[in-house]
Amino acid sequence: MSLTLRLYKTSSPSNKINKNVTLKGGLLINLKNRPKDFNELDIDYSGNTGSVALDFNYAHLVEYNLYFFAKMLPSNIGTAHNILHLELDPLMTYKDQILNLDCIIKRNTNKYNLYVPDDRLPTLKKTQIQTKAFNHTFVPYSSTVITLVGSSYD
Amino acid sequence: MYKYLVGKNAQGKNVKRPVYVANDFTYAEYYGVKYLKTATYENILPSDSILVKGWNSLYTSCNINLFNKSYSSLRNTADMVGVRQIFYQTVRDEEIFVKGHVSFEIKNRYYLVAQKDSSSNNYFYFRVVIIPMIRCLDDEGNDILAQADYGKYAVNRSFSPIENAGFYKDFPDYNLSLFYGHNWYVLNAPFDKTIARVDIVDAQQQKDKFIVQDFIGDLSPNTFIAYDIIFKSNNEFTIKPKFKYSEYPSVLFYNSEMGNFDYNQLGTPIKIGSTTDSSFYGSTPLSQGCLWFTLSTPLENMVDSEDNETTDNDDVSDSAGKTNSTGGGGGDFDDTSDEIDIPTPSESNPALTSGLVRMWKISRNGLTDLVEFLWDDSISATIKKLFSNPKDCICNLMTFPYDVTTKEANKEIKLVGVDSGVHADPDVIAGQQIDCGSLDVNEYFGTFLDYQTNVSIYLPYIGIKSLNVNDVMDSNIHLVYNVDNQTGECVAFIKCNKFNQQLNSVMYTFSGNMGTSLPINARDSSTQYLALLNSTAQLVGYNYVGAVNTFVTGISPKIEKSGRIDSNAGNISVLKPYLIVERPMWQKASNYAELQGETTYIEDTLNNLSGYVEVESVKSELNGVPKESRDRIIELLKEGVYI
Repeated sequence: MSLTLRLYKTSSPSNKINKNVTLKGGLLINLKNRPKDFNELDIDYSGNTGSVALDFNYAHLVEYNLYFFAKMLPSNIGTAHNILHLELDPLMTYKDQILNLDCIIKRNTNKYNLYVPDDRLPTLKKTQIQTKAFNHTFVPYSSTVITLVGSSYD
Repeated sequence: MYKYLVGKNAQGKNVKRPVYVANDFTYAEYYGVKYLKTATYENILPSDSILVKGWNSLYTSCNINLFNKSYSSLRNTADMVGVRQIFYQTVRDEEIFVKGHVSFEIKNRYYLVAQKDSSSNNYFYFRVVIIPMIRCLDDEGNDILAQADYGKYAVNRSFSPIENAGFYKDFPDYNLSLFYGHNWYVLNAPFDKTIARVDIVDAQQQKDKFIVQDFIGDLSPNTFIAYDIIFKSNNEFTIKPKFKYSEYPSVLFYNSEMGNFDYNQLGTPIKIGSTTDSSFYGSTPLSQGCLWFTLSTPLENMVDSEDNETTDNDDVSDSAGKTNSTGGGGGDFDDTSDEIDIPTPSESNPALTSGLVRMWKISRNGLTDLVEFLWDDSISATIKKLFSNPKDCICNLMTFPYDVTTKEANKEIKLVGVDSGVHADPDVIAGQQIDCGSLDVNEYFGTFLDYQTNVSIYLPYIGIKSLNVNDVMDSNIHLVYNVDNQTGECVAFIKCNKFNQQLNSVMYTFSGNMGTSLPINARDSSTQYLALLNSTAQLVGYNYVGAVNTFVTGISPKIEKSGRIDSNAGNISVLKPYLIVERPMWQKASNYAELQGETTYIEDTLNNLSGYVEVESVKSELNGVPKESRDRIIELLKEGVYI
C-alpha cells in the first residue's frame, strides 16, 4: 500500500487547531498492512522514494487526510534504517468537525464576561485606598438651644 | 412602577416586555434616504427599553449609543462604554410595520444619543452601548441575542465597515459621520478591550489624500471593528482586520476574498465583513428604507391587566431565564423594587407646643444677656416666687453642629410673663433633616474585582461603618441625617440608587448623637465631663491594625476603624462625611487574554471564536471521529487550545 506523506515544518503550538505549516518535502511510503489505528506510526522510509529535509516536524498522510507530529527517531539518524515516528494530531486532523462543535466556553481571548471571577488573575497583597468626601461639613457649636420652663413670647 | 407590554407571541405563549417610549422623540421619515433629527435623551433609567419600528424593503437596522455622561459633555472615547448595533430582519414581504419590534432592556443608567449627520442625509446611526446585561427581545419576546443563530442573521445582512463601526468624526464636535457605502475604511486602530479609538480614511472621496479622522470603533458583537489598509501601490491595497471585539457570538470575517483589492474597483462596494453569499440581498444598495423610532412614556392601555401577572410557568417566555418544571428556575424574575425613601422627621412635639417648656435658638450674646438677667438680684419677684433659684428655669442647654431651624425668629423671651429683654428664636422644631449630598460610586475596573472591594463610610458623630460593596458599587449614594433637636440623637440614612438595577432605597441607618449638652450647674458638670471622657476614650481606642492582612482576595479583612464618636467627641473629629474605598490590585500580563483567555461562560460554536479557547463542556457530537481521538480532542479543548 503506497501512501503519500508530506512533510512540513510548523512553529504553531501543539494545541493550536489550525496550524501554520511550511512544506519541507514528501515521501511515498509503503505500509505492509494498514494499521489498526493511526494514532502512532513508525515508518521505515529507507526504501521509500521522495525528498526529506531534516527540519520537518509535521506530516500529512494525504490519502487518509491525517496530520501527525513527526520526528526522526534519534538513534536511527544517519543509519541505513531511517525511522519516522508519527503521532496523530487530532486537532488539525479533525479541525472541521471541531470547529463546528457547540460548546460552553470557559475562557476565550475575545469573548468574555469580566464580571465572572477569574481565579487565575493574581491579585496583589497591597491594595489601593481612595477616599471620596461628601459635600457637607458640620460646624461644631453652630447653634445653641436653650430649653426654658415657663417661657413665652408675644 | 415599570410597565410591561403583555401579549402572546406567534406560538401563543404569554410574553411581557418592558416598554419605555418617549413621545417627544423627534424623527422624520424618508423613502430611500434616512434622516433623523438630532435627539438626545438623558437619564435613561434601568429597565427602560426602546421600541424600534422599522419599515424597510431590505432590513431594519438600529444603532443606539449610550454614554455614561451627557452627550454634550462627551470629551473622549472613554465616555462611550461601547456600542450595540441591532440589525433586525424586517419587511421583505408586504407588511409595512415590522414584525420586528426590537426591545432593548437597558440595565444601566446611560445616555441615549441620536445624531443626524450635518453634511448629508444619506445615513444615520442610532446606537446602544454594549453593556454586559443588555438584552434584546424580538417581537415575539424571544431573546434574539441569545440565539445561537444570531450570527446567521448577521451574515445575511451584508455589513459594511461603517455599519459595523458606526463612528463619530471631528472630535470634539461629535457629529455623527456618514456612511457612503464602501468608501470609508478604518486605519490603524489601537484597542484596549474597553473602548476603541481608531482612525478612518475616506478612500474614495479623495483618492490621493487620506484624511485621518477620529473614530470610535464599534464594539458590537458581530463586528471586526478595525482594519488596516496597507497600500502596495497607488491602485492596490490590502485590507487586514486589525482586531475584533465581541461580547456575544460574533460573526466571523465572512468575506473570503479578504486580501488584495483593486483600488479602481471601489465603485463596487467592497463589503468588508460581509458574506460572499449575496443571494439574499443581491447587489441592492444598503442605504434604502426608512426607520423611525418611538420613545414614549409607558402606555397604560397596552398593558393587559388580566395577562400581566397571570402567566403559567410553562408559558412564560421571559428571557431573563428559563422555566424548569422539575428543578426550580420557575421564579417570576421580577426584579422591580419599591423605593424606600428617607423619612422626614416630625417638626412638632406636643410637649413643646404645650407652653410648659419652650426651646429657643439663642445667640452667644443672647445667652450672655440671659445669664446676666437670671443672675441679676433685681430679678422679678414673680420669677423668684416660682424658682428658688432663677437659674432653675433652664432645663437644658445644648449646642448643635448645624443651623437649627425654628418656627419663629427674634422674639423677646418672657419668663413667667416677665420680659427679659433678651431676644432669641423660639420654637425650635423637634426634628430636622441635614442633607449631606450624594456621591457616585463607579466601577473602577469594570470587572468582578470591583465587587471584591471594601467600602466603608465615615459618618461624623457616628464613626466609620462598613458597607456591602454590592449595595454601593455602581450606585449613587445619598447621605441624609435626621436629627432630634431635643436630644441631639441622630440617624444617618444611606440611600443607594443602583445604576443598573431598579433599586433606589435606604439601605443603611446608623445612629449617633450630635448634640453637645452644656453643664448648667455643678452636678451636671461632673456628669458631662465624665461623658466626654468616656467618648473621647473610645475615640482614642482607634483600632486599626493594618499590619494584619489576609491574602484571599487581595483585600484586608474588615477592621473596626473607629469607636463611637458622638456628641463631644464628634466635635473634635473629622466633620465631613466621606467614603473609604479599598480596592484590590492585580497584576495582569499584557498578553493575558491572548495566552489564557478571559472568563466567559457562554455557549457558542468554536467557529465563531478566535484566539485562546478553553471549553467547559461540549454540547454537540464529533461525528466521524474515532472514539480515541474524540476523547483526546475533548480533553485538549478542556485544557485549552488556540483557534
